[in-house]
Amino acid sequence: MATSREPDKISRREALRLIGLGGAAALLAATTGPALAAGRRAAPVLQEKPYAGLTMRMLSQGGSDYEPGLKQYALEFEDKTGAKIEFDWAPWESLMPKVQADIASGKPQFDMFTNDIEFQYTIYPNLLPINDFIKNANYDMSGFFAPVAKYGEGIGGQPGVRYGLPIIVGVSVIFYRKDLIPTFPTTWADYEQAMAANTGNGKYGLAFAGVPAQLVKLFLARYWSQGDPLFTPDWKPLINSEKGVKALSMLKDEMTKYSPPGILAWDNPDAANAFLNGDVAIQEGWGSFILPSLQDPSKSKVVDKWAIAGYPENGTGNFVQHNMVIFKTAQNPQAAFDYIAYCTGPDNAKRNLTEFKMVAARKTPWTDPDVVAQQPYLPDLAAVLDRGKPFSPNVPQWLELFIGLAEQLSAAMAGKAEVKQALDNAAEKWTETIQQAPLSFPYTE
Amino acid sequence: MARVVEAPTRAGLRWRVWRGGRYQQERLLSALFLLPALLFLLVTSVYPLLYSLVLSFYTWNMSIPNSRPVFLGIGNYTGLVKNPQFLNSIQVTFLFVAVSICIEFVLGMALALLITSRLRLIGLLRTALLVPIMMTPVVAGVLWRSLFHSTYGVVNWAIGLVGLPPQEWLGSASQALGAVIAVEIWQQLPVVIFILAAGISALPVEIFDAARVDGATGWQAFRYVTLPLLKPVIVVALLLRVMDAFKIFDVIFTLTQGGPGGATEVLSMLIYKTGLKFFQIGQATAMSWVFLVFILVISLLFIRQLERQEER
Repeated sequence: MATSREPDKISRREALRLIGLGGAAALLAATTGPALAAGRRAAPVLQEKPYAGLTMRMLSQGGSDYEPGLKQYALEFEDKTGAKIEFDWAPWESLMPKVQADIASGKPQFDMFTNDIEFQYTIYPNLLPINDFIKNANYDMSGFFAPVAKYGEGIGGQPGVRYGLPIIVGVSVIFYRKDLIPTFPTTWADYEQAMAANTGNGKYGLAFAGVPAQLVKLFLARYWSQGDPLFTPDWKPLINSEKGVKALSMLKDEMTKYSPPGILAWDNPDAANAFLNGDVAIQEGWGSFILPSLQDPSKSKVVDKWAIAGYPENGTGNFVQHNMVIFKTAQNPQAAFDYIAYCTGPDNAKRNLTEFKMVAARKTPWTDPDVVAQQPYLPDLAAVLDRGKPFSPNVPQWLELFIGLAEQLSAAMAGKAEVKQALDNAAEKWTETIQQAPLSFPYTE
Repeated sequence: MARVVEAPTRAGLRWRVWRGGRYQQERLLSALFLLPALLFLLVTSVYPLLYSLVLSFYTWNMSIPNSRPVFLGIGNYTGLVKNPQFLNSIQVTFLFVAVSICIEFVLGMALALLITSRLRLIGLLRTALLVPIMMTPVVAGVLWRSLFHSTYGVVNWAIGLVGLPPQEWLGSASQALGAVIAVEIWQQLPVVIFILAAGISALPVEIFDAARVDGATGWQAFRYVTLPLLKPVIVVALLLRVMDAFKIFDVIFTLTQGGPGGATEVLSMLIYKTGLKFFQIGQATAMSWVFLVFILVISLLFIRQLERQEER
């Protein structure tokens, strides 16, 4: 009788034991291998990527010139430093409510913000001054357009305090048909004559964006060319003076005589299209809406027929700059500064201008021969930018002042109010608004 | 002898349930089930509403750093009476609502009668009428902004074909509101049509047969039969449209942003600008409460009319 099993047969218990051992070995191999490999990779990552694991959030304007650039730089920055940047792109209209709501929530979700410098007038108590960061990083502040430095500091009456690094600039400028106007006029009278000479047979002398918010820059150019500031040093409005009335009357007159009908409903793209279609001889507006298309034959009927000029009689274009700023509540202010410095620094200045087609805030690449060969209008545009002036009431209620003026300009242009009455209304609104929070520092331009 | 048992009355039943305490239990249970929804409503609707009412008695500009509300009493409300922009926006709003609702009602009734008829290809018309209401107001605004373009727009091209000169439309203070009303009618007319059409379809056919037998003409049948029977539906349609029209914002924002010169600045736009651009919280909440009272009064008038209809 055989009671023991045959030596070459494995019992069930042994089989189970073998299966268990095999499975454990496989599991160990599966998990240990990648961990070891990661460990081998991890050590160099920790040394080369100082911000590994950090995710920062930026709020900015969707559809802006710099959106593609900031996105690309974010990828490059993550590759170099390990810090990830997430963006919240919002329409300009909703940026102020969004940033105010974020601050008011008590638990701000954004580390950085990029947009018009005017936003800083309102939110500067929540922003980090970056003077020390600039100094410690030896960040080169010398290559920017003159108005960038002049108007980029001193917000809230704090001389020398800087909150942001500029990424783009803009100025209201004149685009004109050099085949129709061989020599650009230097006086307002000659300027109007040039408009008159090019109006007729379905063509017009002047186009501009006529929606309320865009009228301000047109008024400012005509007003500032007469030499007066917007306020006295103790913040009394001067816009409703004789010079203000003259400026607005001039603009209204030009619109009535030389502009296409219905222009008060036109926005920037509409004005740009009229010039690109060859329907107007002069277009006053922002460069960013038209420059990318002027030399593109598929979009422009005025290829090689246009040029850029500043306003007559030292008229000053309305200068704007978009800055990248850091909130006080940023998770890692140094990382945030490193990113904004990367986007705006000298190393990427040429890329901003050429690769991403921004109206870049650094002037240095604007005179680069290679760049000028591609974009020959740059020196003319640079000259206008250097003369630019911002709508500069450096007050938290700047938007209310701006829109208050815009609405009254629109009322006058639409014939709903007399010119003088409209400007008086705007001045009254400005006085009332300033008095809500009187300022301790004088007004300067 | 069989005992006659009377069927219990409702009062008797209630008495018995109450006596048993079950009625109290049921009431408590109902309240418990309602409590979460009620709390949610209190937190998300009632509290913000009451807080905004309190804020309307304060002056507070949130754009000024470290600012706090300062008590002003009824200053915000008295200030509205002297505020030319507020008065202008009230005028524009009422004009917008009155004109658009009147035209929508007249056209809506005509088209509702048409689509409830048995004409050929009416099904196609019914489908086509759905297109405007399927579009979001912002898209409608962007579309019509380009159609109304004074130089390159299709509308001016079309009127040019019949010899009319091009118009400024959105660029003219005298024409902009009309253009905006036209867009509103284009988009909201189908709502009125379908509400009225539903009402017309539900009317009893026998009454019309009887009217025809009595020799009533089409117009007489419409005036003396259709209209009176449709009154409750008309009141509902008008109530819904009036409340909706008062709240207009997106279409005007995309078309004109309230311009030119404030010609199309309705009250909702002014409140948005004052509260969310200027951050003048006290003024904006006062305007909102005045607006709410307007809409409440008008809605109550309609609701009272509806109740009268039901009583009859």
